[in-house]
Amino acid sequence: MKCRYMDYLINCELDSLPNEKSEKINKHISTCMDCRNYLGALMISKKYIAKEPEMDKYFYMRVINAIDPDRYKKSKLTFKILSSLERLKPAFKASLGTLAVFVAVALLITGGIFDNLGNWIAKSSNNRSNTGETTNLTFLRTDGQNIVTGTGEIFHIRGVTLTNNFWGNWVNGESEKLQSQGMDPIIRPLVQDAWVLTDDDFERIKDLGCNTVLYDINYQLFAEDNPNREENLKKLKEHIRRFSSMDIYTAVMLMAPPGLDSINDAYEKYKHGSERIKSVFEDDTYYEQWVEMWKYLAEELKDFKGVAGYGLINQPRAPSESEGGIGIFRERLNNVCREIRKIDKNHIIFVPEYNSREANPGESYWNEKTNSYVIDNGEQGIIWERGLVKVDSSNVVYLFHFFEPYNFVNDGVGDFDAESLEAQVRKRYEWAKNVGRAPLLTEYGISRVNSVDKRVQWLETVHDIFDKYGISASYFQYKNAVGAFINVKTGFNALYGEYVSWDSEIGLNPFYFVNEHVATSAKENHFDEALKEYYLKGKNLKKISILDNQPILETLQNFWK
Amino acid sequence: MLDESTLISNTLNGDIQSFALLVQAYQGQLYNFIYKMTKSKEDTEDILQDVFVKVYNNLYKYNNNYRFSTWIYSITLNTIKSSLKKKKLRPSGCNIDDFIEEIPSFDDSPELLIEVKEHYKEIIEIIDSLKEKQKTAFILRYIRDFSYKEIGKIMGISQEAAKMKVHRAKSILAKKIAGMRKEGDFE
Repeated sequence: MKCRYMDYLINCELDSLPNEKSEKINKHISTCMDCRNYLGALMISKKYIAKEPEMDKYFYMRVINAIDPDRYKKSKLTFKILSSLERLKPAFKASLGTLAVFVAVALLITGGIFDNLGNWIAKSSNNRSNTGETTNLTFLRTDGQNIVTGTGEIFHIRGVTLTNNFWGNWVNGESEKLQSQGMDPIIRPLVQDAWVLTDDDFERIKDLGCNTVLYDINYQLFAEDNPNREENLKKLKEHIRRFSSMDIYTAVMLMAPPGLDSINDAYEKYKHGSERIKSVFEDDTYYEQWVEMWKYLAEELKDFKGVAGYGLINQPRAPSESEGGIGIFRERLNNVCREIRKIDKNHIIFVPEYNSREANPGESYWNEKTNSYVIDNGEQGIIWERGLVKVDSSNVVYLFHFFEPYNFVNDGVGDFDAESLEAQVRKRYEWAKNVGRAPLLTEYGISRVNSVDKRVQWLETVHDIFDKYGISASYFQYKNAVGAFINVKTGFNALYGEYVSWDSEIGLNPFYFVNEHVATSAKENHFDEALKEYYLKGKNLKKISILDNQPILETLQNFWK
Repeated sequence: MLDESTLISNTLNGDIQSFALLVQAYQGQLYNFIYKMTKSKEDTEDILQDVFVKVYNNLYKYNNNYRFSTWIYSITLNTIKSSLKKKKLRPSGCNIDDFIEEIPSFDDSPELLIEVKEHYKEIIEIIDSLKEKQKTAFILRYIRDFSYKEIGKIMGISQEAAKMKVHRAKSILAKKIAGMRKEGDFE
């Protein structure tokens, strides 16, 4: 027989019962199983209904990509009238005659005489920023020796560099040919490799805790004659939007300009100056291509709040005096800044120090072939000297690389001392102060050839120095490919290693290298050890690993706090 | 975060960022509503995207004399219905473990807690077996604490009819739970 309380329980709103009634019900359910079971089931039902399942937090971006962002810009007036008519619907129902009149008026307005006005409104509103970003970020700018946000708060870049495999890949057929000619065999990409920034990477970067990514590009991606240029731009914008939505700035850094770059220089630096690939400071065509690329990107990115700025060029080399020397170096940097500023007045421009310069006749330089100092006789030998050069543009941050002492950081030879490191930073800080109080950004990192303890010690030391002088800094780098042909010790300072080429190098179940050549290279590059330790988990392969870099990450995260 | 009416007004002035914030504010609860109604994870995101596109395209029609939540749930319900008509959805079921932590604690009746855990699945099955309108009203009642008037508005029925549907759903729940006990499933 049904309990007489049951109907009462079903009808009443249990959450809003006065205390005395709740007490009565509690007393009742302690003795009535049906009512107790019903109330239990109801409470569970409520919890079940209210519990939101896990979903993609970035779902809203899918929606934003699916809608027409200009819908309410094109015809604001039309929508205002339609909106008013919607609200008057109940009144229309009262009089069909009135409705007919209103419809006629609406058609006249929306389709006729106000079109010109509507178009004018649309044009005015199209000038406003519309990047599709959903972010709290504001345009960064310089203020004295600081970078500040749109609200004037001091902002230190605490970033990580995404190299994005900008140097490219070995391309069978083409690469062998280049190599046989003594040229760099690695071909710069025309499309960014899919593996360099996956959904998992975005999640991982979000969790790192950095406030900026230095997003590396190569000229060829945005060259005028690249048929994929528009697609590449779309992808870049999408990546900027994703980082923006996480409140992470993106600094777009040109790592490989047309002509001489830091990668092909590994081959070019040994050559006579007359045979060497020219740089944008020496060759007019390369220079024009370089400027054109920045004008294109500045036009397309000028309204993005999530863009921290533009890094003009990586590790440039100043030409010898016969080709214009430091003068042409400064002039062309000034010109590219001026061209960007004509289009984009918002974003910071990162101007690098020259990383080396070509020797003039009579100057001595270190000859890497003979391993000795020699006097230049017109061959434009490389002098590994660095220097910042003032440009006339506003909103400029000067950029320097900090991998010091070189032999220790890159090869694990010798040690470092904090005083000497600080002196090198202080020198640049004073220079920037004297040229008009400009801020500095550094890119820094340390190779895995050093022990974890030593790497942490070095990082903590340089972090203290960067903090002391208020210098923005980006750790080089977030992720790199690992594989049998990459030295996982000496050539690797990335936080994460992704085994991109595994399917062409190994087989699984049971594990084997596909051939002797791969096996030998893996051994030579210490990759066979890394593979066993970090990538092979039982019968499974883990494609990405932080290797032994967890303490490195924690040290960075302490700095980023 | 800006209030809803400002976000709506900004969106109508062409500010996409404001619309994105509106989507962020509603995506979780609407995903939940659609999923509880369809039991298909695969289809929920597609339906939800349709909902927000409709909301955006018709935002100029929204009358701010009414609550925005009522309007958006009404669009969601209509989109679910048309999706159900158009194609066969792909129910994926739900993982009971996802909800175990949500079971209320009856400090004075621990034995009830154990029993309820065992029969959790059956309770969800009871909800899913309700007639479509009863289930809709019941879910709306507890998903966001909608009043009967609001439920009526979302479903296009009167306030009294909405109350009746929730009452009927609760009666069925009580009856089926009692029935289980008599069959020996409970205690």
